[in-house]
Order: sequence, then C-alpha cells, then structure tokens
Amino acid sequence: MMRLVLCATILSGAVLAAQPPIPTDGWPTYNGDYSGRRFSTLTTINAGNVKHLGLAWSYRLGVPGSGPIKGTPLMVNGVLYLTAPDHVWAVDARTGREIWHFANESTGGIHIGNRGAAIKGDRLYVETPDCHLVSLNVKDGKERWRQSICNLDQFYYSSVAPIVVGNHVIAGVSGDDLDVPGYVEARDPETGAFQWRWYVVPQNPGDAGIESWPSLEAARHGGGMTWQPVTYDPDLNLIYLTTGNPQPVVANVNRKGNNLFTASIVAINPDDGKMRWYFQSSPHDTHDWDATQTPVLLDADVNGEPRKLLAQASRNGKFFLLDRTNGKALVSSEFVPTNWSLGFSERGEPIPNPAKEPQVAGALVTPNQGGATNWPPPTFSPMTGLFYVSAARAYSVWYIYDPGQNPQGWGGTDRGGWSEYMLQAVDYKTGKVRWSHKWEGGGLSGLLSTAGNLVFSGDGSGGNIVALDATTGTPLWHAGLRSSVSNGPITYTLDGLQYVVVGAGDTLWSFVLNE
Amino acid sequence: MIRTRRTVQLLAGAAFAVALGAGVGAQRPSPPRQRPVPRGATPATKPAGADTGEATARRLCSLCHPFENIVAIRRTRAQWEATVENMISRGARGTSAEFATVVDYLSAAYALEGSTVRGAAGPDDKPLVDPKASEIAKPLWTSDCQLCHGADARGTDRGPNLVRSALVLGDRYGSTIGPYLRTKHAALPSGKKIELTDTQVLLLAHFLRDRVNDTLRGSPLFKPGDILVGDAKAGAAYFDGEGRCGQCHSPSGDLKGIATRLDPVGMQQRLLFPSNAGARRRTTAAPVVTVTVTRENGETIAGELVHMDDFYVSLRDASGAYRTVRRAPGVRVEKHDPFAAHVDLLSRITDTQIHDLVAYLETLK
Repeated sequence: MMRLVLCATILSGAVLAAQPPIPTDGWPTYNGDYSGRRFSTLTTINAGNVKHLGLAWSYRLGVPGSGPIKGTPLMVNGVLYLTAPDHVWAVDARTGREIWHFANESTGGIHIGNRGAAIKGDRLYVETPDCHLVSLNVKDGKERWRQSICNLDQFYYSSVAPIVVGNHVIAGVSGDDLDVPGYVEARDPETGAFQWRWYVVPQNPGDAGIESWPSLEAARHGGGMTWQPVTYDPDLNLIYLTTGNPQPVVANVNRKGNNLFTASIVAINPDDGKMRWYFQSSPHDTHDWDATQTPVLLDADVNGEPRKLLAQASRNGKFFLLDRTNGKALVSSEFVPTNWSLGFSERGEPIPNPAKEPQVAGALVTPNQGGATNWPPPTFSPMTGLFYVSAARAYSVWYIYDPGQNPQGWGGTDRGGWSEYMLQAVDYKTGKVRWSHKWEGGGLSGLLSTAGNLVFSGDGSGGNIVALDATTGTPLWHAGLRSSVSNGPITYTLDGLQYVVVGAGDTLWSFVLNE
Repeated sequence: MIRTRRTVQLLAGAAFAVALGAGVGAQRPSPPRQRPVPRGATPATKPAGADTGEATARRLCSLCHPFENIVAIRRTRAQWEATVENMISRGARGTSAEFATVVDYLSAAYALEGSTVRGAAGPDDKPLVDPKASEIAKPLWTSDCQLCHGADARGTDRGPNLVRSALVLGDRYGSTIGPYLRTKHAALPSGKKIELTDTQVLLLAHFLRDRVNDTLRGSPLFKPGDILVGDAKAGAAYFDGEGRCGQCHSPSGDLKGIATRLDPVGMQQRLLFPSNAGARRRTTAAPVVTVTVTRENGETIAGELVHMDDFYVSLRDASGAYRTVRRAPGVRVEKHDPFAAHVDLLSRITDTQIHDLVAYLETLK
C-alpha cells in the first residue's frame, strides 16, 4: 500500500549547508531563516549540559484573554517582538521587560491565533484579525500604515505571519466558514501598495487547474486558504506556498475532482506572482486536512550530485520529499499509520479512498480533523538528517450532515475520537520513522533543533518543555510551564549567553544555562 | 484601545424592532453599520451554577483558545457535546465531571435557541437575524424568488446562488439588496416587475441572512442524519464472534436497554471511543485508568491515575490520598486502561461492522 517513490539508496547521507543559517544572535523571521528548518547552529547549550538549563525570566501577556501565545516571536537587535490577535509587544530579550505594546481597535474577524510578525529594517509587519496588514515602527510600535487584504463580509480573517522577500511583503489569508477562494498577496514594504495576488483556485475560464473542478462556480468558491508563512529559496528566487483544504469542507458532491490548487505545495516567483510548479499533498481533500505545514528546504547529495530538496510532513499523515526546482516527488511515505488512502500516484501524491470520505452513517478515519500534525512548526537538523514532527495518531468518525446536491460551508464534520501524541524523527532520505517518542499528554507542539544535538518540544498536556537527544530521542531536561507549550521555541545568543524562549499559555518563558 | 462588546441581550431585543419597527420607512431601510457588535456574546442571564461552570470552562478551554472565541458560535446541547468530545480527542484534559460541567454551562449560557447572530467569523457588525422576520418573508420568497434561486437560496439553473453572493454578504438590512432589486434585477420570469416596499426588502434581507447562517457550523441543521444503515443480525454475530464484545458486555446485563439511554450516534461514538469523557458523560460513572508504580526498593503504590508525564506520575490511592512519584531510573509504571480492547478495535473494525453493531444495539430497547 505504502510506496516509496524513489529507492532510498540513491540518496546519500550528506546534507549540505547551502541555505544561510539562522543568525546566532537573533531570530529575524517566523522560522528563524527562509528555509523553514528551525535549526540553530548554536552549541553553547548542548546534550552534555542541557540538564543545567534554568529560568532566565518570564513575561506574561498584559492583556487578559489575548493568549495563548501561538505565534513565534522574532528577536532582532536584543528585542523580542511577540504577537497575539490584535496585539504586538516589544520585550527586552535579555530581561523580559516590556518596551512597548500595540493594540489594534478591531472591526471583527476570528481571534483564534496570530502566527507572528515580519521585520525589515526599522519596520514591522503584522496581520490583524479584521483583514488588515499593518506596519509599525520597530522602535516605538507606532502605526505607519494599514492596508485591507481581505473582506470581513465574506468571513475571511487574518492570522498569518507575513514574510518579507526582497521588495515584497508576502501575506496570506484565513477563513473557512463560507465558500470563498484562498489567495496570497504581495505588498510594497514601504507603502503597503498592492503588487500582485495569486489565487489558489481558478477564478476565470481557462485558468490553470480548472479541469480539476466540475464547474467554474465550484472552482471560484473552492477555498484553499493560505494559513501559514512561505519559505524561500533566494538562488531559485521561488517562494514555497502551502495551501488549505477545498470548500465546501466535508460534503463534497458539488466539487468532484482533484480541486487544484488546494491542499498543495506551490512554487511562486515572488517578483511576478506566477506559479512555477505544484505538488498536491491531498488531492480532493474531504477531511479539513489543509497542506499548510511548513515546506522545509534542505540541500543534499543525490547520486553524488547536490540537489535542492523540499520536505513536508503533511496534516494527512503523509511525508513528502520533493525536488524543489520542479516539484517532482522523490519520496512519499507515512509518518503515522493512516487508513484513508489507496497508495500513491505516479506523481507521488496520495490516492484518496472514496470509502473513507465522510458518510451520512459515519466513516471511521485516521487521522482525525486535527490531523496527524497541524500548524505547530516542525524542524529539520542537517546534523542528524532527521525531520522532526509533532504527530498524532487519532481516530474519529466523519459524518455528512448535508446530503443534498449543493452543500455549502462544511456540510458535515468529524466527531469524538481517540488519540495519542508523539514526536516522530523521520529520516528524510527514506521517509521512514527512525525513532518515535510517545507523550503521555495530548496535544501538538512546535519544535526547535540545534547543533547541540538537541530537539526542544512540548509534551502536550503534560505542560513541560522538554529537551531531547536529537540522535536518540532520549529526554534530557524538562521544565514545568503550567500550560502546554503553545508555539515554536526559538533560540539566540546575547552577551555570550544562549537563550531558549518558548510560549506556553499566556506566558513567554526564557531559559539559560546556570553556570 | 481594546474593543468593547455589546451584549446579545441589547441586540436581541432590538432586532425585531429594527426589522419591523416604526423607524423602518423609505428614509431608513438600513441601519448604520454599527460596531462593535457582539462576537463572544455575553449571556443574557447567568444560569444557576454559572460561576462554577464558567470558571471550569475558562480553565479547561483557555489553555488552547481565547475563551471569547469559543463561545462566539452558539450551539445546541448536542452540538456542544460533540464539540467538547472533539476537543478531548485533541488533547483537552479534565475529569469526566469537569467536562460534564463545561457542557452544562455552555449549553445553558451559549445556547443556539434565541440567538440572533451566528458564527464567529465576519465583521463585528454582522446582521442579526430576526427569526420572525425571516419566517414572514417566506411566502414572498416562495412566490417570487424560489423558482430561480431555490428554496435554500443556493441557486438553480435559472438563477445564481445568493448564499455565496458578495452583494448579499455585504448587505445590512437591505442596504445593498434593496437598491439592486429596484434598479438592476431583471423582471421575474412571469414578466412581473419587481416592486417591493422597504419592509419587504427588509424581510428578504432577514430571510437571506438566515439562509447564509444555515450553512455555518452553528446552524441547527448542522447535525447527523440517519445512521441506522446496518444489519442487526450481522451485528449480533459480530458482537459474539469477531468483535469479542461478549467477553465484557451482555445484552441482558450492562447493555440492557442501551438503546433507550443513547441515540444511535451516541451508541456508535461510545462503542468506538468509550474513553472519551464527553461521549460517556450521560451515563453512569465510567471505569478509570489505574496505575501500579513500583519503586527502586520494590515498594508498590497503586491507584487511579491523576497525571503522568515522562518525569512524574501522580495517582490517588485506595485511601484517597494524592501521591506523586518521580520516574527515576528503576521506577516501573504499569498503566491499566479499562478501554484497551476498544482502542485495539479501532485499527481492526470496518465501517460495515460498525454500522451492523449499531443496528444490533438499537434492538436492545
């Protein structure tokens, strides 16, 4: 059933460091760098001394109800920039003292989470739930401009961390209540002026992908939200965008077909907004499994030749390794067992099993709606060659609630369930799980790996931040944080001290070595 | 400056006045866009025990979501139960009693019935639907609109889907559909010219927003259909045979009359996911997970599991005392899950077998 598209033996173990690494004295973008690896070259804290890690400071959000912290903070020039829906805080990265606080006066939108900010020079960019991209002064948090990037009346909202690429602020949009199209926009960093918009689903006759929809009407309302930040290869000058599930989400009789380019990884030129290639992680998704998990860029030798690769552990439980110059799949596998597909196509894309689509009487499916993983960011260590992903093995029953011929919105959902959670270390060369560490508590966590041979992860509802040996998965250190880890941990150095900073509930916690 | 929120109480009373009141005339078909309007609506009156319920709900739910976001969608009791069950499967932690308290509180304080606004998404000035206005509009809709736009306003071969119409979604009490109907809409297929009073436009606006709300997850239509599609005889055979259900359960014992206590969906959920506290909350106290901890010196401690992670295990022993043991090297922990057989079933049972089993259980009245 499971098929490895390319024999693993042609992939050698060497991982090249072609991507510029995360600067050791900061964390300037959502993933630390453009590659999405969340791997730090810092070694001050390492597997030998991590047991001495202790509290440096904690910072509790000053606005009740604005947590949990789901965004990854940036750290630039000794200052952390932390976000929540409608809020940005600048916090001293050495001491945890608040420097300034920006609060947006909202006009609506869902306030469920904000993934973070972007910074270019002395300007900061953040999305607010009421469909705005807002630019602030880094030094004092004063608003410079705001631009509307979506329509609240159509139930869009904004939660995505923008990414600055050259002279473009790349901003995605959110929302999955009504049947509206997903898109990504580029805006001018100086003025916020519109540059281009790329629609995930066809909007006009003749648009690419239209053949994968039963009608233009279905395509134009086909969803595919751009929930997560892009990654970027400066050499190829391509951004890698991931797209959300199609609409209507569950009942799908009126959108038969693969529903391009939903639930896909898409390469786009940031200067012209044109698509170069796509790979569909979930053709004709019917389970709310967006494919917006980080497209991690890594470079490795294949058959003695350096190759530019892209890896994704997708919400549907599948792991993909692609050639990022052309989108061709090299490896397709599973990082947890699933029961919804009938193997992989020639393109390396999963073939959904129609019997496991939602049914009126219910279909028992794994994973559940939450997915085998979700938005909490994974990490890739070029030292170990392992792709680490916070994972769930979860079952639920999927129902069609609207059996009519023209369902809208969701038209069904899943219900109930059983689940267990684990940290999976996937060998990127084979797509096989090298080691798995099961957590007693439930819930996913963002991850960080370092050259100190460490992986940092939350342990679900255990409420701990845990450092594990990156090679073996053995837990080496932990600290109880009162709440589950709710974002991706980051690390940086200041004054020779290496800090590890993580969000849990409404509090940001900072750790250093006690020496 | 943080957004303030008006309450549903304020608006619920005002809604019908807006719809049909004296102020509705040629001069004022559309109230000005007001903001902010109630997302995360505050309950009009606090039900008994609400303080405990609210505190528990906030404590359990706020770990992952801003509480105001959760309650922005009003739901029926069944919908709240399903929502809580889903959250349990996604890692929400609490006791069965706590989850029961949360369901009771949310079902009372954030009930769907009587709600005038649905859905968490959209602008703060989302139009409120007056159910009476929507109902009054039905004859007009049926006679003049339904032929082309369908009974549910989702369109036909003759006319477009209005639920997905940007014009309709941007409308506030007739503000955009009124001018459109009067100046741009073609004559009806019968040849009849569209001539609507302001009140009729307002009624249609309520009707259309009601149809938009029907498509949302908080809609009263958002519920399972008939799941009794299995073969009861085959289900009985599975019960005693491959399913090995009879090893622990008996149709004349613990399952006697199960179909009078649980609906089919409830039975289906419970047989697959009995450990989900939300799924079993309506019946008697459920079995609990227990642990036996053996220390390095051979001493054993046993009891009901309270919490366990990689580093500590906490339990309540037979005397009711709370004990925590560090999971140092040499400490052994044995976990006893009373639902292990059901977990094992998940990777074996087919959908047909599930449907047959539910059909069989439905015969146990």
